[in-house]
Amino acid sequence: MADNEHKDLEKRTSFREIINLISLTGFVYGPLDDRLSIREALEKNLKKPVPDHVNWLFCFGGVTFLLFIVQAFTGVLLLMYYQPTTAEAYKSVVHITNNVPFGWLMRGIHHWAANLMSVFCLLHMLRVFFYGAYKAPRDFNWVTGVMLLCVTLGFGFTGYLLPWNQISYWATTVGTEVPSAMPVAGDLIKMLIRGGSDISQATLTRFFAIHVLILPAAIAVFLISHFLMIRRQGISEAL
Amino acid sequence: MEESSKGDVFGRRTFLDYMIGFGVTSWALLTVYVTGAYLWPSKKSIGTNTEDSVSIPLSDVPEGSSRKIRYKANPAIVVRTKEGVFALSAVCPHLGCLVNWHDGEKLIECPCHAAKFDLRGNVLGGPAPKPLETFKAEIKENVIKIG
Ligand code: FES
Repeated sequence: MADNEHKDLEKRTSFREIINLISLTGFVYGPLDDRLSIREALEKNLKKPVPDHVNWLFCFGGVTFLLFIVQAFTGVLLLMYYQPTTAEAYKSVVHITNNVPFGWLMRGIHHWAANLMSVFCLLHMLRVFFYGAYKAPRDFNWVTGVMLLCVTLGFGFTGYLLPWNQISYWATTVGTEVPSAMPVAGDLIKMLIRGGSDISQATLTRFFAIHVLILPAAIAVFLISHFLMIRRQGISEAL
Repeated sequence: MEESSKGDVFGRRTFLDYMIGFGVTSWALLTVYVTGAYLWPSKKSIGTNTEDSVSIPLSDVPEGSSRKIRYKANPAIVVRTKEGVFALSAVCPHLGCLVNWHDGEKLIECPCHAAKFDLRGNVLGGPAPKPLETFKAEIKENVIKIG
């Protein structure tokens, strides 16, 4: 297959072939494919047939994942200018929005994709629920899915504080007040989340660390196991 | 419409390939451009003031002390002594460390390899190959105006 690839090089004239040439296919693909047969692996995966009963409702999980990729990308970009201190956080967010070229766009996408990610997470869960796809043998995958929902909501909760404006300050005050209603350990948990008795620099640092380090690591673990299990068990049967 | 599978340049499949290729390529280029513009450090994006002159309150620099500021997007040092105020580039011409004012010895010294300068930027010792750049500085009522 790779040999044909090389012979065909001269014949490549159409637009699509040119794109192929400047993309990975041209430079890396040939030699790399010789060693690792990437094409075979790719085709096996991309052309894997899906059952007949699959419809558009089955896209919600994929859309959620796509939104996650968008979040990772715009999140890293925001990180290039954001400053996680009480004195600078709000200023740096305003700076990103008003001064940095396309900063408004990155922040806007990060904001909206975050909201949509939670929405599509829930839509995906509804689909799985009403198709009964959570039942054994896929019950473990439902569990990783619930973990993913928790991580997604955790992203939302911690990310909400980072702009350090009035709404994030008070929303976090209210949100972290919730566990204190629990008997016995409630106040302890509240203090642990806040890093003190009220929302302060310690809270901001904590939420920042959780948002950009801990949750990304957690979501990677659960996403990988979620996808591996789907691959292993296949898409659930028709209703 | 019948789809002709080979040879026909304007077959439906070819047309779709072109459209998808064009769409994906322009989307990718746009993303690269936007990301590049976002990340590229410009005066605006790093948020330093680049005005020709900056003023700081006189009370910020008591006599015998110094203060680091940004002047024309570069670090500068403002020193106030009995003789008045002096503004110099704070970037050592040796390897680029930021110099400090030593009021005891009445000289500017680089913390990295001990280059020494006077308040007019002249090299008094150490490895600095050339003097520090100096800027105009004056006291106007309650502010120090540099530049
Ligand atoms: S950098 Fe200043 S003396 Fe070397």
